[in-house]
Amino acid sequence: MGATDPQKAPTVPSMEGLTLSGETVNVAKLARGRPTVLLFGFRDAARVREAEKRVDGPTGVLRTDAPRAAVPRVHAQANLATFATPLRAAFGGDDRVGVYEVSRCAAGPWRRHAVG
Amino acid sequence: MPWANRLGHYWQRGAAACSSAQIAVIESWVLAKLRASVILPNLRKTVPAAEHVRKRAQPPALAPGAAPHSRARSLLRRVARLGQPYFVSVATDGAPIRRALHMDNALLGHVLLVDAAGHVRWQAHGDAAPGEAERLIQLTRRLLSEAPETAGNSS
Repeated sequence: MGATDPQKAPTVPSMEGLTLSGETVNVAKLARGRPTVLLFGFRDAARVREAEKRVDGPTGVLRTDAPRAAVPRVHAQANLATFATPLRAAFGGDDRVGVYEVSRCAAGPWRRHAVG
Repeated sequence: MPWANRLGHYWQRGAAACSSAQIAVIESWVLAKLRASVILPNLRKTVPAAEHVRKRAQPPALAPGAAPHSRARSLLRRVARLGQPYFVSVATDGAPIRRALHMDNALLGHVLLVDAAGHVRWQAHGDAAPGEAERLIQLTRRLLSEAPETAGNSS
């Protein structure tokens, strides 16, 4: 999707959450005041493995007849890494740009290897 | 390196140079019940207290010539005071979020560029196509130049 008319573009929905210090914050409000890149990777490894049986690569087309070995791997986090690498090279250390990684992982990034 | 940890490698704890945060969405009601009593206390033990909320190194910049009491200045001051939590745990159903942001395929990674007023200005999914990552960087730079003006129109 290219650049959109800001007035017609969707806004980040309200997402209230808890920080490690126990404060309640709204992610949508955190993203205000500066350009922010949101990296969404909703599926954890177990779900992706299940999906590999029936999804044909990045197009997401269902393929119930495909043998599992023939189906390209679908990895949301690997998708995001292709954007994260140049992004970090360009804006690493720049406080004017926010980068939020949104994942579906209850225990956070430090435990992610447990499901991978 | 396990594939699931690749992104964490780039934005991991200790990479203080990156202004990044991790948002963990909990969709399971069982895990949501355990969040405050089990999950967050365990994470607090493993993460240094200094990284629970990281204050910004410097407040966001204002446009040259901005009025001393402008709405943009007020908004940016509030954002700077808020600090930068490294980790936020959100217990919610992810489907409405995906619908609102037009992320139809939940199996892929989605990248959204959001301006200072919270509007999604650019979106991509899957692996970065040739030139797509450069486009993201280029548009982010453009938003940086217009950020104070946009922020002033937001609240």
